[in-house]
Amino acid sequence: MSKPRSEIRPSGLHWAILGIQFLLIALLIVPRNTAETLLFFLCTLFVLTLHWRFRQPDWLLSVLLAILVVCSFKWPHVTYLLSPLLCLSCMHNRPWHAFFALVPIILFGPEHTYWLALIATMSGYLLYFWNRNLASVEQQSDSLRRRVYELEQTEEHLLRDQNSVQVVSRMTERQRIAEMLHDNLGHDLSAAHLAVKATGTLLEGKRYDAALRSQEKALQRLGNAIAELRSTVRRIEPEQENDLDRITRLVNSFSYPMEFSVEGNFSRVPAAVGQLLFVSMQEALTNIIKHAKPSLISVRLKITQAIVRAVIENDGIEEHAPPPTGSGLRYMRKRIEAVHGSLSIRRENVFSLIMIIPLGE
Amino acid sequence: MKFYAFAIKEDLRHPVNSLLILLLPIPLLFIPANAGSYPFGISLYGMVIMYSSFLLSRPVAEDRMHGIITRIAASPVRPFTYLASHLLGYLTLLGIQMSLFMIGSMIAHGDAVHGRLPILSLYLSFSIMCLALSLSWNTLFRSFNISFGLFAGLASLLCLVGGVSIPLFLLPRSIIGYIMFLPTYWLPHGLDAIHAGDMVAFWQSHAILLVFASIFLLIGSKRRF
Repeated sequence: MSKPRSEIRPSGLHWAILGIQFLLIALLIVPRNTAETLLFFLCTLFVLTLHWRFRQPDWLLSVLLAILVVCSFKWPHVTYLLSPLLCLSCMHNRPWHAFFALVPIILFGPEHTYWLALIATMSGYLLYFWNRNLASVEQQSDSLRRRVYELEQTEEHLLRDQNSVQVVSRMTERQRIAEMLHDNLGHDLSAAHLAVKATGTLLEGKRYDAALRSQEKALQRLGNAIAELRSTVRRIEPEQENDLDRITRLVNSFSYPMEFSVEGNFSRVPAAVGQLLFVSMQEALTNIIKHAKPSLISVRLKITQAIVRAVIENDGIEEHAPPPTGSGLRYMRKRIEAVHGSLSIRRENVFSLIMIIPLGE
Repeated sequence: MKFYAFAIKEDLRHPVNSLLILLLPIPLLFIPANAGSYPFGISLYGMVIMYSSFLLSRPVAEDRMHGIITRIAASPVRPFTYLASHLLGYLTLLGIQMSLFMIGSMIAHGDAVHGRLPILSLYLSFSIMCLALSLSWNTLFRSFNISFGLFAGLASLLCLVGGVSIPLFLLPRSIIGYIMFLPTYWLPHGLDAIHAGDMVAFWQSHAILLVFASIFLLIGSKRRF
């Protein structure tokens, strides 16, 4: 796992700026350094370290500011130490604090204090605006991330619902077939069954004429049943073209040179899988048009006892093309994985997209 | 209390530490006095405190470097209790060393060293500062040996420039403003103040050493795994 790239943030940078300010102050107070000045310097440093370490409440900084303001009346060099507090006040957008820090600097501060105060104010407000802007960007980014998460949840629900709808429609279709078989064939087959039984009884009683009549009736009933069965099957069969026809038409409609082959019995493929196969192949071929310049596209379908495997290859890989990460492929993968299938991509001399979808029961 | 006793036991388990506490200060007692100041060994003892505090604080540094601190953080022990007990344990050992040194100075120098209680209190503040400095210094490194190697150089420089291993009056006046920013300056400054009877300067030295110690403690106690 790669280490996340460290980035400069205002919260980190403001401590660096405060450090530089303390260094400048140290250099400025050196010629007139006394134990009192150093004690003030260290106490200010201590409070700011405490603030950094424990995120102390703001009143601590206010107390320090008040002490330094009062002491600057007696020791003018203490005004140097007001500039880090001025920077912090500007960074947290506290104009009153900044005002109270600025007054003694203007009234009692030695010459260099003005420059320090100017740098502190400017850097403080720059950091404040940067921080505000960053917070706004982060908020937007969080909102977008939440939206994407919600969409993914919705997509998952839809896929689950799609599976449920498939199961329900399959059950409904079975029930419809059962009803048609019962209504149209049941009576004739029952009558034929009874006639055959009667024929047996008549033969046992050696009543051959009656047995022949009964056999004729049974044959007539069975003939009716076969005719009804044919008629029912014709009614059950979908009237529109089947999925293989649609796929063939899709492949033939492409302007690129195509090689299309089907191996195995396509009638074994359930309607839901056929529809998924058609949609996925449509997406894959559209992607080829968008992102590749092939001289030949090969589409191979293989139907076995348990799975259907579709391999779509094209030789038009562009040298500097980024790896495929679009939402089309992502949705295709999700849809295939929702029916326990798999989608894999191989990028060698040719670009291969391999779909394996189980045929189910 | 358990951590406190454990810290002392852990330090005393190494014979080098016992020798350090008992024998290292002894040669300093035989350094003769300069005119108008305490015997030089009294000031030079600050260097011994610096090295002793660094070596004594080794277990805390190694706990962090070997990842033991992660296990401690996962246990119900508060980090404050762990750190405070260890530092108090090391301070106790340094206190014993200081007391022995003061007894030795009484024997070796007699009345030439006056104000032993203020000197002892100044040593105590200085050793607190040194322990805090060692703690924060060790947080910068992942290996104790590298840390000690570099600290040896730093401590020698701090003592040399800060007036611990060279009398303050020998240092040029022009650099005093700069070296006041070094924590080591305030031990010889305080000792001179005690010798001159300047109690204001003595308390200033105390205050500055303790503020330095607080800053170093705040930096050194930040949890780094």
